[in-house]
Amino acid sequence: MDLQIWVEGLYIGSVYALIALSMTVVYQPTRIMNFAQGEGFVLGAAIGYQTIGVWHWPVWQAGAALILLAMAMGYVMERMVMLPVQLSGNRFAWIIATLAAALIFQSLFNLPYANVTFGYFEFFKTRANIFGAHIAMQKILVFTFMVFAAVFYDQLLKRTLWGRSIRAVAHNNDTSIILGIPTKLVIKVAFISGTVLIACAGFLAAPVIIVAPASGLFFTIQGFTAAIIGGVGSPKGAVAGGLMIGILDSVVRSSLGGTWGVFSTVMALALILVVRPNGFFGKRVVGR
Amino acid sequence: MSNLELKNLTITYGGAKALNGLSIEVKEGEFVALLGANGAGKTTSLRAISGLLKPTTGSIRFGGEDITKLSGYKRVALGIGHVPEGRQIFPDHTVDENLQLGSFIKRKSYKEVSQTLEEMFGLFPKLRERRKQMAGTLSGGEAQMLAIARSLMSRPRILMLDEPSLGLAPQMVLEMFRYLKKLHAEQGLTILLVEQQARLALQLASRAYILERGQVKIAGLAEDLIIDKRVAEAYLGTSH
Repeated sequence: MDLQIWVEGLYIGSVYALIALSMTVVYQPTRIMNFAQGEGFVLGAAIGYQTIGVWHWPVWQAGAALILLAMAMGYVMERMVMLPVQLSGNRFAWIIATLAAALIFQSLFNLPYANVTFGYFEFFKTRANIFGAHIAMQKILVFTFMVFAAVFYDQLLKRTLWGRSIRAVAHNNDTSIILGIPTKLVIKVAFISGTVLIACAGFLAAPVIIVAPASGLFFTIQGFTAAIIGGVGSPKGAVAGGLMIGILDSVVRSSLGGTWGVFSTVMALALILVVRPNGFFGKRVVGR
Repeated sequence: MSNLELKNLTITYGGAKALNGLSIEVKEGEFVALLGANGAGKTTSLRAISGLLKPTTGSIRFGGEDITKLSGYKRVALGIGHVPEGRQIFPDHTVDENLQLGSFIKRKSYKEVSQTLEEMFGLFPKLRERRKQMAGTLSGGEAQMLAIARSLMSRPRILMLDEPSLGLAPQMVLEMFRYLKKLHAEQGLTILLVEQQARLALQLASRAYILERGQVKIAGLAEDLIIDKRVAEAYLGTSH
């Protein structure tokens, strides 16, 4: 099969992996799958389009605006999701809270950008040649960013006290408090850093992917699928799952046609849920 | 000045009063037992002191400071250590990692942490052997030692233990109580012990409160309570 298809698959897979990874960042301390996570991707793309595409800001300035706005969005998102969870005391309140957050952000994006796709020009206009497959440098940039982010987060979880605290908060919030861990801060930081991560992904990928104001939920579902296949909560799983469905999508699309792409990833999800419900890198859930 | 003082504490759980005007006091260097039947409010008292539950009325003072409204995680830095019911160690963390989490508030003073860690391994040699093991693989006794050591890692001024004997073999219970006695006698650690095994607790503690329906029913010196007829009938009874 044509190598080009596989290389494209790796690239689109790295986008899905980034989304899955940012969902993992939120999931780790909270055990919440944030269905509003994809809105951060749209935010990043929209900021890139507006600042660089329309206003012609230099990249560093656009990047600064991106990080500030993404932090603000992460903070707001944390309140939108955690307040209902804390106030209702219902274990499943997050499902409706994150969906509501997704729809609210989606309508906000639709106000100024109703008929826009957030494409803008690539930072590097060169193409790389990998064994005969041509790929835009911008796509390689996205892939590299994904690898760095995944390795960084994996090491943070394993090697730092903050990472261990994140896992502790997930396991038992009360016990974390009586050890002096500021659990609410850990959760806020997770939402904020997760949103910054996914907004950076949207910002970098917007020139080479189609992002519309209402695309958030589509990307959320792709990231969700990747996370489940790889194993929820595992950074390695997010990367593996993302790359797998990226390649699958790309290969099926080129041989059977566009509409079969998403169908095949959903089928892969269904298959995994039957054969290996915890995903490839997921831990078996240990009862308390 | 590590006096712990609960005054007229009331806590309501979905309409029912878990604590109903509870007042107790623990002075620096004391070993106090908190006894009573299930549902008397023992665990609730400890959770209130740790800030996991907010009282509707009443006040909690520690070391002369009013901590009634203070966030739970900030109370650890004041010197309140809490070994929760059922140990609640982190099973997917190694023994080492569990202990490090215990020293979360001391994370900036690396030297002090490694010194405390050595002390804990001196006190509980079994834990040193199991350092790299997942805490979920420990036996009940070892897990209880880990829970105590983890709490001591923050160098608390008062250690509160919630039924540390729960689910342990009788031999293990005695060994654990020896450790508590040692900590109290040698390091002058203030201890507040919640225990179902009332007779054992009264042998260790110098004073005790017996709770009933969220209030203090009987209070006094342990040596008096252990021969008190009312106590003997209700709490020491047939179980030993």
